[in-house]
Amino acid sequence: MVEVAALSLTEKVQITFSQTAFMVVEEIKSLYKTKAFVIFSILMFLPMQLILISYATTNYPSLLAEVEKAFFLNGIFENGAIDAFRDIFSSAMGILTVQRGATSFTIGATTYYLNLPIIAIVTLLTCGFIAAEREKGTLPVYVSKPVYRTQLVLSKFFAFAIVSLALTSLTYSLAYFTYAATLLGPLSLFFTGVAETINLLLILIFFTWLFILAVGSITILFSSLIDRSIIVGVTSLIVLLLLSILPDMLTVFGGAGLSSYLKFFDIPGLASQLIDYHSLGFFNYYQNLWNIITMIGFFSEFIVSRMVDPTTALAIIILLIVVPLIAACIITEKREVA
Amino acid sequence: MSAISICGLRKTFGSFTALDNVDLEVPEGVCFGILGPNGAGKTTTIKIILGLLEPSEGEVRVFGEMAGSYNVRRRIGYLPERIEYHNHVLCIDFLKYVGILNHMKPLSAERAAREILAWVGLEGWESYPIGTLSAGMKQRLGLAQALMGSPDLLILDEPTTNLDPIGRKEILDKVRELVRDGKTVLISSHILSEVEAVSDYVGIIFRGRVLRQGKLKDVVQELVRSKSGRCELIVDKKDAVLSLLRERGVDVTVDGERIIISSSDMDSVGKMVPKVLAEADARIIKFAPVGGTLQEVFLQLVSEGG
Repeated sequence: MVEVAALSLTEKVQITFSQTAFMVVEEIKSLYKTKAFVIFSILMFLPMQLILISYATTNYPSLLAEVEKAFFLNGIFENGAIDAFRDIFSSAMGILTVQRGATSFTIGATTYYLNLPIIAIVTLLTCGFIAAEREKGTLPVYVSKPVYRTQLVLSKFFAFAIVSLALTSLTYSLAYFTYAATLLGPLSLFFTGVAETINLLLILIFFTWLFILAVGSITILFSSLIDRSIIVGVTSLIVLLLLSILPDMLTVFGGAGLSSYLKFFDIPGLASQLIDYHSLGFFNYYQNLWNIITMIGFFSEFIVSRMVDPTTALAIIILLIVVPLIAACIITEKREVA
Repeated sequence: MSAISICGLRKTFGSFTALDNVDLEVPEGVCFGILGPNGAGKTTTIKIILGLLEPSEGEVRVFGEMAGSYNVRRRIGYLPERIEYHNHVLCIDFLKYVGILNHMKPLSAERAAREILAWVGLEGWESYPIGTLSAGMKQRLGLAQALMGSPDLLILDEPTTNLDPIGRKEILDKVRELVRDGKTVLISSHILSEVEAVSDYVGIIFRGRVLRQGKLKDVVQELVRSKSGRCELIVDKKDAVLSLLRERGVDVTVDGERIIISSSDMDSVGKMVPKVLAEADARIIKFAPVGGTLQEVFLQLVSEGG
């Protein structure tokens, strides 16, 4: 029998890196075919669609009535749920100045993206990353191959990171330009200058992406601990929602002390504050709004108790991405594959 | 060198002992069949060999190295007992991924995947999602993924599950072909006739212990010899012959048309039977020793618990 020589350390490192890169590519190809990814894409593109609907209902009500009739959707655009989402953006329509348009978009977009629907769909997308492999019986096949289990976890995470960055970039940009075009006219795409617009979009995209990665990373940690995808999804969703709701509830009901600790785990809150802080310089209107808000007693205490300085907020979000991921890798390495 | 060497293996899950002092040697270049009823410990043994589970005690080596080590995993292909897939993934993409896990470059993996799919009888199904395959086809796909990377040791847990008789024969023929090519195959199956047809060596596991192991024919012969004293007799006048045998004090039982004779002195039985047949004016249809098949050996061992 021919002996197979052990790989040298250099060979192992080289193989591991190239193997992981190839695995990421294959994971991306698999990810975009899943139902969860389709729903994720729809939800991410929704603001752009709602902006268009909002514009159409405001400016072309008769045309919309014809569309409703043709597709047997009578009354769909008067639907309460659609109204609620539309109002996030439509409040700016026709009543705010050009300068305030970018501010409104920022407020509206972050209210939508850093919220329950995206938390839920990212949880759904990532809950089965490890748990589903155990459920289906493919994990024993993979870990019996010459691959480190950490590579399996990281390749899925990197694939998710790449896909979510691409989707966030595309949907934010499209939503922003659609908003600008509907407010200013079809040939106008910028509320402010080109450089400011790109800067603003980069801020929005980057911190929203970090938020998505943190949600995904925490869900992957649960996926490494719990063997059933559905339980992973529910557990992760409940934990993340509690962490984002509890600080506000505790402040309202007089628990500002505990809230001041829990605020560090409120991922949407951290991402939102980072966006607010980094985009503050653009908007005089926003600066004025901030000044007004901080002058009001109750709200100022509320806001101050929830504030995290930007450096700390960024560090925490990055830790909330990295630490659960490392923990997931360690747990997957150590756990037996029954 | 043995392909697999298991010494004093013990595995417990809490207070439950799944494997108790298991010793097993699988030579290189053979087909080794592991037999045992449900819950005997076959799959647990296989998972320890693969490094998926840690032994509580004992040592397991594969090609001389510790089981589950990175280097050893380069040489193993594994088909689990029950495998499901992500239904949206294409067959070729799944095999390509497995090839990448086996250190193949994507293009080489794709080429190898197409060849192996043809070999297992799934040519033309490369671009179909796995969800569109039948249960038997998925089983073939499972065998295909085990073959990616040209492993030296193949571990197949119930490889003919979900296959029709023609499919089973094809897979068993493939297993023989792989052994002829120098591979070592460890096959775990409940279908004893199939194991008997394809295995050179066999190991019988029951309640976490190895009852017997060795070359197939030796294991069968040893038990036939040690438990000798049983033969079956089929005649045209069963009742008359039965009555005469009982009069002579012979230990007989009836199994349908068969008269099973148990005796510690089969030579005497062999001399007596023709006389009894002559006295009953009966015609002999069959007269042969009982316990010559693996199934009968297996059932005998398991019922006695070793």
